[in-house]
Amino acid sequence: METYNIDSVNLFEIVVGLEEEFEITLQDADFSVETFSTVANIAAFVEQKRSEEQ
Amino acid sequence: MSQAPEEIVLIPGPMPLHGIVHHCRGIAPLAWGMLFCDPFAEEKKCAHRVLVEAARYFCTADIICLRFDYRGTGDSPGDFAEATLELWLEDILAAARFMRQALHVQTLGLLGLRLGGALACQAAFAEKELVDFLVLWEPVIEGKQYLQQNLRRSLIKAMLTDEKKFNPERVRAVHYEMEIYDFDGYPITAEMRRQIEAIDLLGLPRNFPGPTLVVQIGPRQEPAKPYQELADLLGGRAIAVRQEPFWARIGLINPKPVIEETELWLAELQASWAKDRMQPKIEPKALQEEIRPET
Repeated sequence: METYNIDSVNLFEIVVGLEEEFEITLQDADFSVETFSTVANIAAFVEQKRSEEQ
Repeated sequence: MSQAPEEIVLIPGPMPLHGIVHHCRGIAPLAWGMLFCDPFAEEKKCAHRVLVEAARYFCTADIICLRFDYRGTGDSPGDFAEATLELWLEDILAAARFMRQALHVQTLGLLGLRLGGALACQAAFAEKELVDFLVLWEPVIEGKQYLQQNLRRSLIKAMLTDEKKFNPERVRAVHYEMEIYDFDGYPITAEMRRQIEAIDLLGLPRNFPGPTLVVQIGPRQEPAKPYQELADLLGGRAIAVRQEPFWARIGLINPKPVIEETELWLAELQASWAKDRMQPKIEPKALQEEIRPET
């Protein structure tokens, strides 16, 4: 997040965008520093959520 | 061209409210007016300048605009922590009556942003005779989701500021188990939280008779399903305007896209009603009798 200068407002929008774009719903427990630390981690998380929610 | 006159007013009611009237230059030939219903908390702060710009723009199109502060917010008296949505709804209705009575507005609309959009919608249903049309900018359609978004902001802030001690359950507990609840830095009571949670615009009856514009503001080209559903329910139109969500931004924002799209819709409405020679719902004189303050 530091690499891309992501602040809390940006991250909030990323979360909303992920939910809209990939039709997933994040739970409170999904919020972790590790999940959002890299783009690759976010992609893996989305893949996992999509398979869980299908 | 110099700016149209602006006037600070006190809106009469159980608690006099602070307002700013954006007058039209000269006499407004159509006597149209629009009451701005503000969003809440940080969103109100971030949106303030855009709403001022919008009011100044609309009054050049012969629409008198009134911006005001709900009790306990901005420059209006009252205690923020004692506020409820019911009281703010009363404030909107008092300000709407003031526009009819003191500003001689014959065709009155409510423009509400975010939580103000939800309140504007409820106010229009509460006194249908008072409100002729609605403009809803990114209204809060579902209160539960609005609170959930607030919780997420808190989760994200906590995550970014205190990585090692970050505990989602603790953040959640602060949101749902305290009697005074931290809404993005603003203290609200459990009662206020329950009232926000109960907002369900798609659960409103299908009987608001006036034209309605529902605007979704963001990156989308078409309005998302809930906004379209709300417009369908109200018999109105939903549009998407590509613009930054200014109520969630600190910094320089170009407010033109949403203002101009709204003005376009208002101009169509004015032209169509002028053609149909639509009469206002309430004769200003009759209303003055109705709400004359007790002496």
